[in-house]
Amino acid sequence: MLDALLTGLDLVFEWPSIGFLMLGVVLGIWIGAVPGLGGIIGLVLLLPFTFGMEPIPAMALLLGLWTVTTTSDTISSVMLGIPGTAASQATILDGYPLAQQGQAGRAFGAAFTVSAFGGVFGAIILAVSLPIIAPLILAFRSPELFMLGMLGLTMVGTLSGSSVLKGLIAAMFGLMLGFVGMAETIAMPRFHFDSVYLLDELPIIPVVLGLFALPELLELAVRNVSISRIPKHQAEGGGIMDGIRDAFKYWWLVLRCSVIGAYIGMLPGLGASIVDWVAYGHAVQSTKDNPRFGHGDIRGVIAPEAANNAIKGGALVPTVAFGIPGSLGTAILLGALVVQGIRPGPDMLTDNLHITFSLVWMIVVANVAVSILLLFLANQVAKVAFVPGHLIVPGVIATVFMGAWLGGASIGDWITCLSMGVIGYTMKRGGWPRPPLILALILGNILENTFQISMRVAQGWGWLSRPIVLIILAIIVLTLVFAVSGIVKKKQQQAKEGEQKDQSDEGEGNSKNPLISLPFGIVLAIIFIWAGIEAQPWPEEVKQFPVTIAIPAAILTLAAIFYDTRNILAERLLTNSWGEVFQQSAEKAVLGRSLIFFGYLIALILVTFVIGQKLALALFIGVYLWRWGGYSARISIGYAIGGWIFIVAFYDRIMNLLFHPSWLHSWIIPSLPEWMPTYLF
Amino acid sequence: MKRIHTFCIALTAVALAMTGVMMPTNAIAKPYYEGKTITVVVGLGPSSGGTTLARLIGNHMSKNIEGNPKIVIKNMPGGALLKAHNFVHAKAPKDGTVIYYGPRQPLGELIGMPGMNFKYSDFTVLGGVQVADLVNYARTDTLKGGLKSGADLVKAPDVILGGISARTIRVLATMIQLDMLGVNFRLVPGYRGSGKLRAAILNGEVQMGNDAAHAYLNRVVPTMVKDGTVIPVWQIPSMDASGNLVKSSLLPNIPSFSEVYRQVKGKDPSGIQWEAVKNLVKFGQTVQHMYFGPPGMNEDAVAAFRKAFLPAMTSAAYEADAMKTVKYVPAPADYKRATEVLSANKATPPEVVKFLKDYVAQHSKK
Repeated sequence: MLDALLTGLDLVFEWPSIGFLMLGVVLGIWIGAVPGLGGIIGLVLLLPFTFGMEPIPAMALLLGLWTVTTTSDTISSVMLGIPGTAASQATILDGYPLAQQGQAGRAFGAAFTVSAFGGVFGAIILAVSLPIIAPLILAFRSPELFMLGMLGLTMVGTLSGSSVLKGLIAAMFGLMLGFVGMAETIAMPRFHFDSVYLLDELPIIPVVLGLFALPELLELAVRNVSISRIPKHQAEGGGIMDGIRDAFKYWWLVLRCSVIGAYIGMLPGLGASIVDWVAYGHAVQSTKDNPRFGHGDIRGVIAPEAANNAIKGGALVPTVAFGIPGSLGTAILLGALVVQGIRPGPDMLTDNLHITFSLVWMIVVANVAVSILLLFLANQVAKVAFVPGHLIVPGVIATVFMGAWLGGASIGDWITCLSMGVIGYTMKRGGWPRPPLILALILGNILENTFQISMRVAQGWGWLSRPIVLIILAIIVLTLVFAVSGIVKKKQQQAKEGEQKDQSDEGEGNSKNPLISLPFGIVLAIIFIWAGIEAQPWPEEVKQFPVTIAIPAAILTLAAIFYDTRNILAERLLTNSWGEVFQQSAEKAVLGRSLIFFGYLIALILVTFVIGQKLALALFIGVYLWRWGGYSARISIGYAIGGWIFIVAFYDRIMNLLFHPSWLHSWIIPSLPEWMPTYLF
Repeated sequence: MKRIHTFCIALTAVALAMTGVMMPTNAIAKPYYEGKTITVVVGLGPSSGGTTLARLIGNHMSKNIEGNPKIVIKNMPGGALLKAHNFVHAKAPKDGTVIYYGPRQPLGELIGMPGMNFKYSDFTVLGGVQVADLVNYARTDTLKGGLKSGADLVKAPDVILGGISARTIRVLATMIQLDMLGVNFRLVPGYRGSGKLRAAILNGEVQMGNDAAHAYLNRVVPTMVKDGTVIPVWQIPSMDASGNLVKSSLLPNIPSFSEVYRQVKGKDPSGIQWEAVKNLVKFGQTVQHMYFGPPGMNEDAVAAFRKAFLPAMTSAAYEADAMKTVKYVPAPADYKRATEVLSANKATPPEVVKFLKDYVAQHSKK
């Protein structure tokens, strides 16, 4: 094995392989940092260029890019509160609050350092685990994957926000959204309102961008603040070196989370979606000294970032050894391997072990390289936290909407993004945690699919007695017990101290505004009840999951409505009139300006129908800066032209996107002189 | 502020440069596609074999179409291909710059499918591609003592067939064939994609499934056939222009279903079930991938594309690239043959349509 290990390393450092690896790393930093792009888009862009290349350089280019996107997406997670990928959702819970406290540099220092450690430890664990990998992977069938998904949902539902009840309801709402589109085993559409767009499940990227990015950008716009709520001169500590020191200080946590990442990464189909939550949950449950999770605890950044880099090596093993790609990214890599003449199979763990090791080495080298590069850049990036919010908002809105457009090239994606923005804003201001919704949306179909396959294969509930299923079930129960006992202890302590310690509105799901929360709860209750009734006539397998979720969800939502109503009545007792209650609530949520902000975005979509995206986004940038931001016409026009050039050059010329066929395109463009390049519009 | 002004002036200069890059060069009639980009919409995901083929063929079309247009691939998966089909049908410009490549949903058109807002005959057919045929394979431990051939399946007490759903041609054809042989089987649907099905067969969750021949050779043989986990049981051939079933040249040693049937029953397959299988092969497994443009596509564009199609797909360079990329050479079918196949489901006898509708409905309820 040692021989294969060293031969694999040699292959990576041969020229031009190492050059292509570094090129992939640099491209991956860019692709990962821009909201809405990510590893898949990067692989799709690069794949055609690798067809004519030699196998090792080709894989170096692809793996270099793929590996580093989960490190560079930390930039948008920390700076903007936008999870770059499913595997970096947990990072926003503490990373974004740190940026708001002026400590983005510290978050970057810790995240990039542990990313390198995670990548290297993950590869070492992988190397020593090779003999047990095959039985481990083959032991995970649909029942085990179902239970693992349930564990992920339990973790996220109980860990994000201060209300387990709202966390669970948000998760159930995510599951219901996941049922939109064709049923899993029978080709029958559900909740699709006769729309072709909704025949398929809701696309994840527009939902994530809408749910997380738009509310945070709205916050910057309506409050006229920087990402950091603290001026630069007041932000003490919180630099890169502090973060690096944190990474070393919590080395034991880094090591444990790397192990979690590497092993979960090996499980095809599910690993990447839940690994950060399992690691985050482990950090929360194992931390005794002064935890501030959800409010900017550096361990909340360290745990998921160590795990989500360790996962990459693990995910590669089932792909090359069994031809089983665990995700879309590994599926593309598998396709590239086959094109290069490398056939997956057990030979990759025996005769061709050196090739497998060379791939793992590529991941290790890329992880270390990206961490070093980003640590050098981090200070500059962290400074963006102190830039006026108005200069950030229009540019990021343009990339967010283009990111939402990338997957489906449908105006439905923009409408989804905007709708989820409204939902995200309401959830954020109403104290409903958003991460459970996203994870449930990702896992909803997987859970339904694996559950129904388990039932069909076992012809009943016999699968529940499988040993690994029982072990995961026990972990789920323990997680729930820990969560509930933690809340009880916290409340007892608060009662003992006679004060409400945790009144902060900072952090995911911690906002307290029952007048915003109540209508959202009522809408959810209506949705759950309607969905339960709508599903009744469907065949058993089609309605099984929606009905199973809708009934308890409706009951839990009614409970949440009860608590919100009680809180509103309590607020009424403290004030003189209902009018004052409403006014205070609206002021706290900055409701008026928020509605205007969403008005701008609705206008953006409507204008797109007329003049197309390239001009509409540029117009949005200009109008926003001029009218809302109060900047001069010159700056507004300059920024708008810059945005337009970026959209044309990057999204049209480089990515060759299909843009919405606007009225301008249909009627005006054909009559333009032939020398005029139409791609400009 | 001065810096910002300078920056704005620089940006404006770049913008003006971008508008000025294409000044009139000559007034001579040039090839229709010169300077244009063709976006090929593929109704599959970026990791699919269909996308790999779209890229491969696209490279050679770009070299062979007069004017050498740039060809880019746009994946638009979803809605069981309907998202891409509806897009090209309703939203693509008619100038030939946006066309479709990939599989179709002929069964959906035949027995009805929600969201199908078009007829395939509406599209402008540009050409077709015969991709690899299908091969069914099963775990050897399906039968106590070991499965030795497809004919042994009839002795197995309970065969679990995995697949995406009973509404897909590859699963439907296999189910009818298993019924014809008298195999005691049950379908476990829900495996979205060949990768997931292969994993389920490898870990023993299901016992039987199918794959395209090249995927079978590249991904099943090294991982499962080589160590004796599975054996191929039969292949589902395609149909030539004369209506004959033709075995895949990639799988010369794997028997066709007819051969297995004769081995088990001692006679040639016949009856409504066999007619249904043949019709599924005729409109679903023959010229599986097609290029088509929106209704009323520009005539110059159509002519340019059709003219280049056969030369592109019969060139030595294409064959060499195909062998390197997908390990076989997908064969072309000109637009006339493709149109013929596209309309084949209209010629399906009513009794076969009724049989298929009933069969799908019956197995969708199970």
